[in-house]
Amino acid sequence: MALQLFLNGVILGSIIALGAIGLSLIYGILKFGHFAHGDLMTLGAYFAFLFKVQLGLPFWLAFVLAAALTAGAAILLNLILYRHLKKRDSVIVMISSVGAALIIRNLVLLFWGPQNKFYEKAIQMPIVLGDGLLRIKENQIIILVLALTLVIAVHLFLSKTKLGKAMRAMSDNIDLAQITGINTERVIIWTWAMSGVLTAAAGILLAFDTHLTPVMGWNLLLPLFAAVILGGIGSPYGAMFGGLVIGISQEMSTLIISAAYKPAVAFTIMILMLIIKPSGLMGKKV
Amino acid sequence: MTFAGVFSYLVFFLIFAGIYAVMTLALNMQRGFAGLFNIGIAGFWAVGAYTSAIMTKGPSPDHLGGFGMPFIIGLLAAGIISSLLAFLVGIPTIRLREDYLGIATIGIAEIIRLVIKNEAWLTNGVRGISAIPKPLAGSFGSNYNLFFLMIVVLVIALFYYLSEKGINSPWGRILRAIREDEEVVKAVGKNVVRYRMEAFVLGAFMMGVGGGLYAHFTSFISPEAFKPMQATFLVWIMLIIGGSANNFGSIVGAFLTWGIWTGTEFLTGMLPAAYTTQAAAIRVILIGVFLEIILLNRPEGLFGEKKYSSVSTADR
Amino acid sequence: MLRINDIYSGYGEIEIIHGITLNVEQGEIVSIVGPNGSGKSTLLKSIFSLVDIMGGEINYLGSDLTKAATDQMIKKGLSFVPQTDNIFPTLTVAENLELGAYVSRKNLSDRFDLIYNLFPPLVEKRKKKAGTLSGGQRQMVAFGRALVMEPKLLLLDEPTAGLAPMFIDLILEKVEEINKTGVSILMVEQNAKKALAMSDRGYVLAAGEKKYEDSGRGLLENKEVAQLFLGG
Repeated sequence: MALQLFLNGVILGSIIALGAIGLSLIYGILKFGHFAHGDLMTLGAYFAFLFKVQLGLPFWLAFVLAAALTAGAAILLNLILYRHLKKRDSVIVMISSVGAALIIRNLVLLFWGPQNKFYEKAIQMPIVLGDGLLRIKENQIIILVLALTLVIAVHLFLSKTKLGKAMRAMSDNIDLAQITGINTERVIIWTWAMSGVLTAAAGILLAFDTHLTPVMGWNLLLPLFAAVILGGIGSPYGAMFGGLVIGISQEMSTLIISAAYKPAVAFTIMILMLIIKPSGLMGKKV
Repeated sequence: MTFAGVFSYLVFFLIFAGIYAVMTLALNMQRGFAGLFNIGIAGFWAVGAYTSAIMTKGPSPDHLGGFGMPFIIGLLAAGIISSLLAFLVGIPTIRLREDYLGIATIGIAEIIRLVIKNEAWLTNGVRGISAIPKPLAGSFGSNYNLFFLMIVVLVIALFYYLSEKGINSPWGRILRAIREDEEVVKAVGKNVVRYRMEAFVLGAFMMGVGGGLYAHFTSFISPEAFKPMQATFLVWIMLIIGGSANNFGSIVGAFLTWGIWTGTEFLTGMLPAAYTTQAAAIRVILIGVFLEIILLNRPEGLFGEKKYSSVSTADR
Repeated sequence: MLRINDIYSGYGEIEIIHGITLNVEQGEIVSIVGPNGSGKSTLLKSIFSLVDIMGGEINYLGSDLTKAATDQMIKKGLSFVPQTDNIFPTLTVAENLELGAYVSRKNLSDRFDLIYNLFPPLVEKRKKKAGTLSGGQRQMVAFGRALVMEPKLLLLDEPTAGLAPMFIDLILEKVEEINKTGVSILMVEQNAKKALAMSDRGYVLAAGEKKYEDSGRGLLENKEVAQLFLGG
């Protein structure tokens, strides 16, 4: 039982991790919590639904197209909203992102309706391991592989490329990045693009594991923020780790508390972290 | 529509707008005066509504109750429980950057929703609490709503008066000084966190009372009765339109925004009945776009930030 | 090479620098000294347009800096070491240096060699996060990042602020060494006596205005300056 929950936690955790990386980088660079991040995730999942189910494209192509469109949506948000609010009180930018979240969610409702949707109709039989000790569906294996691949890709991008290093540098110290000659505007656009791609991936994988609903991303917003704060704002590696911890704790918590209170676990961990070490596990010392 | 029909609709409209005005005054205390970021308004609203409902109802087999307290006590309890909750949320977050409080308030609102939904012994779960007593019910016949409107107006007047009084007192001056320059206030030895916490708790008290008013007026509350994010968002729009740190603007902003929000209902009401879901979505999209336009083009709101006498402002 | 002519600058509506004229010639070390709040740092930041310029002009190698983009300034050989927050703490030492070469990556390994020669302790810390280093070593990383840019003129904002005494002399020695390789230096320094002793020329600022300007030695020997600004 515990082993099964752990596995479920790893699956949920990798999905949270993917979403949290972008959220953390944006938080670190632009200094505001992006409350529309969960709904961007929803948007990505529905884009994939559009391409895969409604237009009948193969899954991988739907994945790529949805990721690209979500990246576009993220860049668009920056272009029409956040870029203009940069010099203002961070609360104004955040409330603007809450507005963006509501707009995106209701656009999804408008176009796809409130009913649950599925990428595929057929029900998968889980693969049973070790005399029923562990059950895993084929989809979940695909999710783990894809999530791992993306995390490795992100790591290589952040540690080996000039753009990736510039992103980390900006998250560390944007003023210094500027006088070092980094074109901060351009790097910000790329950061939104990367966040869009990862967020879409998180949404698609979540829908692949369960189903699509217009509130799927919003419901994951709190765990996303908890992962970011746990790992340290601005630290992409912290976000990956934080995502796993949050995912695993949420699933394992059902051993002790009612499953209905799963979302409260992320909140509790976040509050504990804020009490003990607000800068997070891997954040920079302020 | 007859004149009486229009009039009774107007009263109904004003009561809801008035309850939102209470919420906006409350948010203005937190955000406008103390710079605090609360996006869990719906949570405090719900706590207030449920507290007052449970306190005032007679015994019920469906949920906790049977206290049968008077309306006034119900409202007070609503405010107190809501402040207590704010205090608990504030302890770990209020000393940190403003966004942490924002995230925490979303979290607490979500947890409150879960509790209301799952703890049926307390709240009757998804079925909600019905037959919440109305104060002096049956005394005013068909003019009852007019009487209730008077109560709402009274509460608004009271909160407005206390808020203005508070903000012009030495306490309020320090609060405003903190917003201007936190370091200076710290340097003269004031406990900045304490002042912030007080503003947060006071605002939450008002929100609790507002929630109580809502419960008694609608006499039915349930977890699905209103969309939490939508309600929170509307209050924020009201505050932003009214101009931050401006109590009068907050009230006007609330009535104006509620008017616009109701207006969108008329607009989407023209769609065929089969499109109810879409119509609701379009309303939120419209009000969302409206907010973004305000934020981008009139950041100071329609009424701007009120200049209080003692604050030195840059007149240059 | 750098000519600041009657500059007015500050933050928003608050003017801090009230019309200062200053110049740096090729190969010089020039120090700006003065009491706290005299506007030393603001003056230095004005050159890089990090504060609001309200009037006057800043000419560097024939072009007007008040209108130049940051990467253009860097390409023309201008680099700046801020007083605080002058490294990227979660990036490794090597990555910090590499980012210095963001604008141009020509002869990168030669440039790295130069820096590791100048600051040998950084060699073994290459793979360490810069935020984990000691104060003195951080300052070396900050210098390194600026030097990778191959500056002709290096702007230093209080390079010894907050350092332990043993590091103060070391860092100032390094400044002289850097200067010997042909890099001109304009620095703001609190250790006024030490700074002026090693400078070709110096400026004394007070309340956002230039009070004295002379050779480093001249200022040190000026009784008025000594009494008012160098603590007797």
